[in-house]
Amino acid sequence: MRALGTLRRMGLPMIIGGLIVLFWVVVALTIDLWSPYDPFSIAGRRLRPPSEAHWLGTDALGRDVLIRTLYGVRHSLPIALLVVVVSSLGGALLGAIAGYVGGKTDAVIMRLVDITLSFPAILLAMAVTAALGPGLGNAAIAMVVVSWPVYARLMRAQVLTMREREHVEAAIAAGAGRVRVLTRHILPLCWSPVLVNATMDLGQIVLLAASLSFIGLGALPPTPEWGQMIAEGAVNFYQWWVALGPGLAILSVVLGFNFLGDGLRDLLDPRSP
Amino acid sequence: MTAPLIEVRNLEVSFPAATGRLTALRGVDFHVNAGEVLGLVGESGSGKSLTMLSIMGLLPPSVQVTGSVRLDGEELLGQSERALRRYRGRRIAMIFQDPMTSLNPVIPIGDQIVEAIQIHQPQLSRRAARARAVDLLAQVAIPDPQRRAGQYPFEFSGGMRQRAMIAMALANDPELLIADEPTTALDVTIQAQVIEVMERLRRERGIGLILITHDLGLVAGVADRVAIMYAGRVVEQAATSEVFYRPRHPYTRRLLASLPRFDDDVDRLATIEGVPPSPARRPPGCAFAPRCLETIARCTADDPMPRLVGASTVACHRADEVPA
Repeated sequence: MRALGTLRRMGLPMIIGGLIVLFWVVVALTIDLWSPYDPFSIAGRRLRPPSEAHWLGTDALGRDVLIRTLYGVRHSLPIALLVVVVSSLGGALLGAIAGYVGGKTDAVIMRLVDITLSFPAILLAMAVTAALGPGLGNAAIAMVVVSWPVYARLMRAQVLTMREREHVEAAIAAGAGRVRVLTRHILPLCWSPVLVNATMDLGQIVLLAASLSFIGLGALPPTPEWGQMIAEGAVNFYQWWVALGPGLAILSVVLGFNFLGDGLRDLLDPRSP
Repeated sequence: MTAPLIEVRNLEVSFPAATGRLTALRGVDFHVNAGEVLGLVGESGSGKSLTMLSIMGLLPPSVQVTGSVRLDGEELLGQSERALRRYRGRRIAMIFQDPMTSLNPVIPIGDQIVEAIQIHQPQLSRRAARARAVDLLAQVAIPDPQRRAGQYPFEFSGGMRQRAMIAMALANDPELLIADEPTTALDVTIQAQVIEVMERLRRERGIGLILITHDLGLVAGVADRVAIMYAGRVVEQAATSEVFYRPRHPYTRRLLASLPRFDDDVDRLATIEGVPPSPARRPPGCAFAPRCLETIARCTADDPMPRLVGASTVACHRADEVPA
């Protein structure tokens, strides 16, 4: 009964988003078991349009586009997850410290945030990856660099609001020390916007990773990575299906996480009906 | 004669402001003995809460606090944050005004009390602390305390939350309890329950209680002594019956006159015209003079200091001449 109630409160977009994400997670976990083709080997004639044997056609080397697209999620999702976990935890921690300690610490951390945010994300990510050298690992580092400041800001704002709550003063009056006040009485009330933003960010990071791969700074061939695949497909302009698979994949993942994040916000926001 | 439980002497509090420093408290004096209830009364902004926050050392460092606050003869002002932490919640506990916001919404009530216990008694096992928490809830008349301890604040009614706050304040057997308008947010029947609990604690454990309120009826019923605050100073302080039957400060008289009465059908309640002066615009003489109906020339020139008149301490030039 309770689960049903929660399901109803979630609303349609969140359910759709959840299903999309669930689909990709299942694919990532099980594809080895049922995939008819190997993503790296030639499955048929090159650049064939969609057919019964190859639902999304074949690419310039004759590999199955659909299977490569499905395999692609094994790169995109873990990377996105890793980047979001690291940058949200790191950013939130820095933001919490800035908000709670204040003074010079706050100034230093927040100016760092301002500087980072003053660059367009994609440009900064490109610069960092270029400096470190192409590859998905370095692209991940670059994406952490560009995505932590938002979390720092969010968390700082939350902490600044929550530290003025009366129960915080009550905890101090009960003799609680600074660390206890922060970890027990402030932070547990701060995480919901961070969680919402992290969920939305998952989609954005998938997109950013694909962008970096597209311009050759992320995954390298022959990795079946979506951005990389779109780059290959862009060369074969009249064989639209080569880029269609990974394009749709990115679209669905970003959409899925956005729906999920939106729904989560409605669910966690005490002001929503 | 033994030292009072808490003794506040010449407490001054000032804030930094654009135009120099604003003095919010100007020499507050009072004391509370063990087992005694002091009612601290005054309008909003008169400095009641500020007095309590400075006793607890909860004011930010930019606020300057001078004077003396002695707990059992030990000076609290000027002690380090670390040292103060050992007093807070253990020897002096505080109950905040709004039970709706003063509890952590994401931690079960029982766990919050356990935490309050373990801050000061870390050697106590979790199980023992838990048992004590349930026991405390029972003491403040929470029904089914075992089950209630596992519930979150939103599952408690306002009165129950306030009593849970009292339970938490009692966690470490404090000697002094400061209750900042503990009943303002509650309806009358619940108020009675809360007061009954505090009254019992005083009787049974002999703790001292400072009751901050603007409810004169509550003070009359519960307090042994009353201190009336106005514009950052205690203007009249005496035994409760003294204050109610022989009020010596014009402000006290006007306060009492403004109380609605059951036995008297009045159309308009008596009011005190005007508002208390802000710390930035205090008149040179008596702070109450602009609103006072009994002023003499001296009142606007010369700030009256608190002095002993009869059995009361009063800050008024005419305290000994006008018998009410």
